[in-house]
Amino acid sequence: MHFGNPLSDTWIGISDEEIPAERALYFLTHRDAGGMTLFLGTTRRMTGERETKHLTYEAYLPMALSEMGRLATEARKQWPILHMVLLHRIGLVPITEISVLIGVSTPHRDAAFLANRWLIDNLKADVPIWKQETYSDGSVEWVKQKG
Amino acid sequence: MQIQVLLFSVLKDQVGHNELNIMLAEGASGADLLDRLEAEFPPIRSFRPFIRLGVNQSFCAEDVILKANDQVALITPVSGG
Repeated sequence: MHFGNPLSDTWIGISDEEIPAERALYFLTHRDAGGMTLFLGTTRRMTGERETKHLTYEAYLPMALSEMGRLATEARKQWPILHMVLLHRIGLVPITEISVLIGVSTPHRDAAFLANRWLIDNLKADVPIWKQETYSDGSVEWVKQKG
Repeated sequence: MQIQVLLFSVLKDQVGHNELNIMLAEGASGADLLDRLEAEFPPIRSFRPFIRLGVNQSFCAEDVILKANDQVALITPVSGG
């Protein structure tokens, strides 16, 4: 499973492959852009006192892709987005590696920051993807929603 | 009418299935489906306050009226990112 083919101005994908961050940056490039923001979510080793070995993500694939598409459409209503990338890796993601990439290019930097933050916050709230922690002591648990 | 129920993450583990086929009366709602599921599968009960319904891949409120062959995902709080 690949990250799919970019449309002319939007690239949305879910795959068990490594996130192609350099390709995403290249895709975001636009001659009318004055700013690009790239957010990369990565697997963290320590959460409080507990040490993570790796994370494993599961998606309800067709709905996750359609929800990401809905977020992309809603973001374009709020900000003058030129190019946009939303990629999520599923399966096992070792520590330090990238699980999610959100990229936006806009004429001015304010919109690039705002749209990116809005997209990652809403992805984490609404896109049906779930994270399972495997700790260094071998225990495994699904991550509970905060608040 | 038959409804296809999809389970993921913690619900899939606790119920022991990733898919269930449930027969409901015509005109049944999402709440009726959840009532039926929590009666048949006790692990679902403790998650009920947190479950959102994804009916044919769109979020719907519990009062949604289901149709034959609808696909209903039980979406516990998501944790992607």
